[in-house]
Parts: sequence; C-alpha cells; structure tokens
Amino acid sequence: MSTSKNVCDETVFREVYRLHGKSLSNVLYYQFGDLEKSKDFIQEALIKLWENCKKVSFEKTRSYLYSVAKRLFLDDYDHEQVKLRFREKTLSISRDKTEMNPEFNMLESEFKEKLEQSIEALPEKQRMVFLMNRIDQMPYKEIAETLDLNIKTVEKHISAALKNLKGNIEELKNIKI
Amino acid sequence: MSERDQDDLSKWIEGKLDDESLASSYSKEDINKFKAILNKVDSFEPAQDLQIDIDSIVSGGKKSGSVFMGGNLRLAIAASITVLLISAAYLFFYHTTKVSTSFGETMVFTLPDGTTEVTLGPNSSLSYNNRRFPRKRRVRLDGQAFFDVNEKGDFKVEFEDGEVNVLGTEFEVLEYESGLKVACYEGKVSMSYESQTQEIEAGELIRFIDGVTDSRLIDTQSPAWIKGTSSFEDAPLKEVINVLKSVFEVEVITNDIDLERRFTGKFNHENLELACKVVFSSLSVDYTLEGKTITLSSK
Repeated sequence: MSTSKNVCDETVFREVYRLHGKSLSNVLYYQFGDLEKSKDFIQEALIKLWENCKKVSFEKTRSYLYSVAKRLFLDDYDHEQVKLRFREKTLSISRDKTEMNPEFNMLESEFKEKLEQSIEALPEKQRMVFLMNRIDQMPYKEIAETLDLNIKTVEKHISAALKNLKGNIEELKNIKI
Repeated sequence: MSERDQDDLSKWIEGKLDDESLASSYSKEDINKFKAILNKVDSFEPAQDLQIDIDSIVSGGKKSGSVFMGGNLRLAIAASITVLLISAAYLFFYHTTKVSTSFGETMVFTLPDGTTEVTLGPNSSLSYNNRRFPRKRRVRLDGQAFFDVNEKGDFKVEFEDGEVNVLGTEFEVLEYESGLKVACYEGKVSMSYESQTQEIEAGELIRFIDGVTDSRLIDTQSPAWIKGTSSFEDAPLKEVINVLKSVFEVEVITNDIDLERRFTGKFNHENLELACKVVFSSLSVDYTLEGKTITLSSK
C-alpha cells in the first residue's frame, strides 16, 4: 500500500493549499491575465478537490488543481485579453520612479510600463515560464513538471522570453521617438 | 539564435554562468539590458494577495454529518449558515447564466441591470456573465432576440461573427447559418459583422446573407414573432425556412428550389399546415408535409 498522505485529512488539505494555492493562482494569472478570476477559479478547484479528496493522491494535487482551474478559464468565454500589472515588492531595491533607467535610457516609471506591455505581448508559454521562474523563483525542473513540458523546452522559452523582452522594449522606445 | 547561445543564456538566467562566459555571444550593453529586465521583474509581484477562505471549504465539506445531529439549536444554526455560504459561493462562481428556448417557444425576461427586457425567440439562447453584467452589459446570442434597452450606457450583443452595439434603443437580432438580420425599432445601433461595420437607424432593417447586404424600412413597433406570428417583407426563402425550422421544429428538404426567391406575407405560430400553405403556395412551390419533414419540389 502506498504511504501517501491522505488529502481528505484536513491538515493535509491545508498543506496542499499552502503549497500550491498561491503559486498556481499566479501561474493562471501569467497565463490568462485576470487576477480576480485566477483567485476565484483556484478557490473553485480547491472546493472540487475537497469533494473528490478520496480520488486524488497527494502527489497529484498540484496538477489536479491546475487542470480544473485552467478548464474553468477555457470554458469562460467572457475572459478578457491578457492584462498584467505588477506592484514592486517593498523590500527590493527598486529605483525611484522619476529616476532614469540608464540601460534603456528612459524614466524608471516608463521602463516599468514598457516592460509590462512587453510581457503581455510575449507568447503564452514564454510568458508563463519566464514569470514563474523570476517572480515565483521556481526552478526550471519544477516549471517543466507543472506545465508538462520538457526541461529543454523550458530553457528555450526562458531565453527566448528575455531576448524578446529586450527587443520589444527597444522597439517601443523607438516608436515614441 | 544558435542552440549553444540559447543554452548559455538560460544557464546565465539561472545564475549558473557568469557574465564573461556570455560575452562571446552578447555585447556588454545587451548583458546590462538583460540584467535591468531581470532585476525589475524579480521585484514584481501580482498586485493582489491570494485570500481564500480555506476554513469554509473544509467545514463546508463536513456539513453532511454535523448539521442536525445532537439537537443543539445553535450548532444547527451555525451549520446551516455555513451551508448557505457554501451554496452562495457556488452560485457566485458559476456566474455565466444561459437562457435557452426550445422550438416554437419564446421567453421574456429582464437582464440583471434591471431595465433591459429581452424577448428570446424560438430555438435560441442568450448567455451573459451574471456578476460582471451590471458593470459591462454584454450578452452572447445564438438565434433570435428582441431587446428593449432603456438605460443609457453601452450595451453589446455578440454572436459568432460580429457584434451589435447600442445606446438606448429597441432592436431585434436574428442570426442564422448563412447570415444575420438586425432590425432597429427605436434609437440607433451600430453593428460589425465579419469585416463590415454599419449604423442602423430606427425603422431600418439590415440583412447580411452570404456576404450580401440589403437594407429596407420597417413600419412596425416590434417584430411580429413576439406576438406569435412571423411576418416577412421581400425576405429570401432561405430566411423564411430558417424561421419555420425554429418555430415548428421541422426539417426542410429544399431539393433544387431557388432559396433566393422572395416572400412577402405572414404566418401564425400555431398551425404548421397553414404556415406551409401560406409560404409555399404563394411561391408556387410544391411541398409535402410528413410528420416533422417538409419536402419541397418545383411545380
């Protein structure tokens, strides 16, 4: 018999939520760009998981939650275009918004805006992989498992994402001038 | 980019390669730009915290055992409140509402903005997002409906290949396989269909069928089908047959009959035999009606 933890156990269920709740809601946000719905759908997925706790093993909870919530997004005809906005963590050494960003030669605030726009414009997988790695600090291997991708593919997406972002910001800047 | 460069770049992003090893493929300036991007994104977080009431999920699942056992009134009340909250949560999440009619049936209802009245035609469905609707008045239509939009503000009807936008008005939309019909009874609407956009004034009717647009004037206050009749003026037979199908739930085998022929007249939704007689006899088309199938042939 497997010694796997029982998801119907309340303590285990709470652990599942602690482990995957936030990170999956972020993944859905990166994918579909709707923060409110990401939260709603993860909550709905958790309710489903609790109802079906006997049928899902502890190890499979992450992919179960992700696929239920993703299905809800795909069925929701009304979902808007990807719109990603970020706030900056207070602890980070973020530069003053009115300061210049020397690398791209534009105001910090402008740099943030152009970066957000460029992230929105990335192909879905590149965007997801890149943000999961940078914001949620997920290692490539874990990203590959969550999205059911080959690790080589993850590496390809992440380097392509960075190059595309650079190119896109440069381009957005030229348009303005 | 070469596979090697891509490999190096992904390793560098991971922090497993230093700047110097990257310098063979990228300029100093590029590397600095990469760093600026990574630093910025690293400081980002989604602009809202995830707050899920995990307690209510967990206690909700246990309701079955604890609700009315023990006869303790307070416990029973607390438990039923939990149950109520959970079911409210369900309603809250399943927020897409779909209203459908079957063949020959029409239905009148009011949308969640409290003022827009919809008459949904036979064999049609209308869906909208319950929660979002008051903020964003948007519905999706398959089939036919008459809208009476009273309050000012945007109102949008979407269908497969286009949309209709309105400001305070009464109008009708009929979508069918090969086209769309929009009639405006009051106010003004603007419609986009495939790649065309057109404004429609009160008293005007526009048809788009197989890429052909035709417009005409209407002189009634509302479509006749609302009162259980279908009325046509110079309408292509194709459209008349579509209406017959959705009102009477019939199959129509058209054989080699020209479906562009025009029909003017009306029929009542109560009597199929009479409807067939009115439509096909006036066009000198032979027809046989067996059960739910009408077969046409030229005379």
